[in-house]
Amino acid sequence: MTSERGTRPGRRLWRRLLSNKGAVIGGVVITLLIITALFAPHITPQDPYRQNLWERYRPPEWFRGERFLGTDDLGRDVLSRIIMGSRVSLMVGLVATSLSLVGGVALGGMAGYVGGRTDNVMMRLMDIVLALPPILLAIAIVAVLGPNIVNAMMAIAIVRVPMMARVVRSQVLSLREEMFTEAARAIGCSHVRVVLRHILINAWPPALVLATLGMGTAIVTEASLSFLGLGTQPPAISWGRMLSVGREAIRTAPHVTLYPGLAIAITVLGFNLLGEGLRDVFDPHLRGR
Amino acid sequence: MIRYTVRRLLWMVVVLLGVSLIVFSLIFLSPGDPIRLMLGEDPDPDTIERLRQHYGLDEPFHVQYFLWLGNALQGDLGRSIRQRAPVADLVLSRIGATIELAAASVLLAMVIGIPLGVLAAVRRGGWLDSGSMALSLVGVSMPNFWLGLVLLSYVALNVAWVPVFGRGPAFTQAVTALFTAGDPGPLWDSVRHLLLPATALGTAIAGLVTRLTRSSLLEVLAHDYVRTARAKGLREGRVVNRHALRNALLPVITVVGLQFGFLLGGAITTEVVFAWPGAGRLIVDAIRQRDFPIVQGGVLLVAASFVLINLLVDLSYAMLDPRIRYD
Repeated sequence: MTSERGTRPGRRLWRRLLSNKGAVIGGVVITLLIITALFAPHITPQDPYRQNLWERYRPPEWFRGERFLGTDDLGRDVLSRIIMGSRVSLMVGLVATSLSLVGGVALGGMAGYVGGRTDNVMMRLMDIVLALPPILLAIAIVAVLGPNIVNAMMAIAIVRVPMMARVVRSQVLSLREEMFTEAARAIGCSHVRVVLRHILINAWPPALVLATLGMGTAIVTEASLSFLGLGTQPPAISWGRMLSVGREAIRTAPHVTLYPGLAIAITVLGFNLLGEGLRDVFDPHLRGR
Repeated sequence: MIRYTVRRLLWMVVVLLGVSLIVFSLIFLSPGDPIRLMLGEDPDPDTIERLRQHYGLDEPFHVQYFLWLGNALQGDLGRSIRQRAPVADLVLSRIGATIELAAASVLLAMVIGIPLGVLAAVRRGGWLDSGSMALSLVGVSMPNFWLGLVLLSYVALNVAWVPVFGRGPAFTQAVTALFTAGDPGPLWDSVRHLLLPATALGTAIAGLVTRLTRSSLLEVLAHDYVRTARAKGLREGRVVNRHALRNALLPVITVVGLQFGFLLGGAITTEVVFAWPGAGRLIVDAIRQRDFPIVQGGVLLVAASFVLINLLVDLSYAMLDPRIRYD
C-alpha cells in the first residue's frame, strides 16, 4: 500500500487493475475481440457469405489447407463466419448493455434520490419484472415484437434494467446522505445538478462492474435467442445462429457447432474475468472471495 | 414467523397479478389477429366478427384482461389454436419434465460444486484453489445449449448407453416402480436420459456453487468458534465438516434455491437441444407456430412456478435464519 500513497486515485485504480491477473487476461481477450470485430471484413481468410455446395461440411484443415476450421452446410468458411459473427455479438452486448445502463441509471437514480412512495412503487415494479425468468421474458418480448436483431437487443435490455436499477438505487441511497451532497444542496444546486454532477458521478463503480458482467450475459442471451430462431435472421451472421444451423449436422460435422460456441464461451469468460477484476479493484474487501 | 409468512404470501399475490398483467399485455400488443390465425386463409368476415364477440376480443383492454384473469383463476387458460386442446392441460402435462430436469441439474451442481468449493477453501492459495476457481469460471461462462450440443456430439453419439434424445420414464414413476415392483429398469432408463441434459444445464450452477461454497466457508473459518474448535484439538477435517461447513452452506442453499427458479427459464434451450418434452420446448414451438394462447399460458405458468419456488426458498431460509424475518 505504501507505494500507492500519494498517487492520484485514477492512477491507483489503474495500477490495481493491472496487477489483477484475471482482469488483465479478460482485458486482453476483450481487446482482441474488439479489434477482430472492427476489422472483420479485412481479416477474414475467405468470403464468409460465399457458398460452395461441393465443399459442404469439410472438416477443419488447420494449417494444412485454406479451410482452417472447416465449412458449414452451404460450404461457407466457418472461421470467416466466426470472425464476422463477432460484430453481431459485440454490438448486441454493447447496445443492450448501454440501454439497460441508461434505463437502470434513470429509474434507480430517481427512485433512490426521490425516495418515499416513488421509491417504493418503482422498486416493487422492478421486483415484479424480476419475478419472471429473464430468458423467458426475453423470448416472450421477441415473440411479440417479431424475431429480429433490433427487437432481441431491446428485449435483452428490458430484462436487465431492473437489476441495474437496484444497484444504482442502493448506491444513490447511501450517497444521498453524504456530506458533499448536503453541501451541494446548501450552496443552491438544483436537484438535477446534484443527481447528475454529485451523486451519479460517484455511483458508477458498481454499475460499471454489473455492466461488464452483463455484457457476457447479453451475448449469451442473444446467442440463445438466435439459436431458437428468434434473434439474428439470415443472411446476417451470428454465433448463436451458426449453432442453430450446425445442430442439424451434429452427427457428421460437429465442428460446425464446436467453434462458434467456443467463441461465445471465450468472449463471455473474458467479460467475466474483467468484470470480477473491476469489482476487486473497486472493492478490495472482496478480493480473493 | 407467521407475520413474515403472511407478508410474503400477500406480496406473492401482488407479484403474480403484476406478472399476469405483463404476460397479458405482451400478447395483447402483439401484431396479428388470433381469429384470423385460427381460421386460416380467406376467412368469412361475418364469422370473424362473430368469433371476436364470442371470445370478447371486441372489448377494451381492461375488460379483456379481467375476463382472461377470471378464467385463468378457474384453471382455464384458453385453447391452443393449432392443437385445439386446453392450454392448461398442455402446459401442465409438460411442466413436470421441466421441473425434473431443473431439479436434476441443481442436484448435480451441488454434488460437484460443494466438494470442489470446500477443497478450494481448505487449500486456499494452492493449485487446487486456483484450479477449481478457474474451472468454475469456465463453467459459468459456457452457454448451456452449446455444452449440450458438444455433449451430444462427443458423448451421446459415442457411448452406447447414453441416449441421444428425449426423456425416459418420469423420475417419480421410476422410483415408485423400484419400490413397488422392485424393478430398477425404469429408474436406470430415467437417469441415463437425464444425465446429459442435466450436465449441460447444471454446469454453470456448479461453477456458481463452487465459488459460493469457497467464499462462504472462508468467511466462516475466520470466526472465533472455529478457532475454539481448533484450540480444543479437533482434527481439521472435523472442524471443517462439523463446525464450519454447516453454517457456510446456508447462503449456498439459498442461492441454489433461487437458481432453481431461473433454471425453469434456462431449461428452454437445453430442452430444444435434447428434444426434452418440457414446458420450455412447448413455448418455443408455439412461438414458431404463432400459437399465442400457449405462449401466454405457458409463460404465466412457468413464471408462477418461479414465484412459488422463490417464496418457498425465502420461507425456508427465514426458518433457518431468524435474522431474515426482521429485515
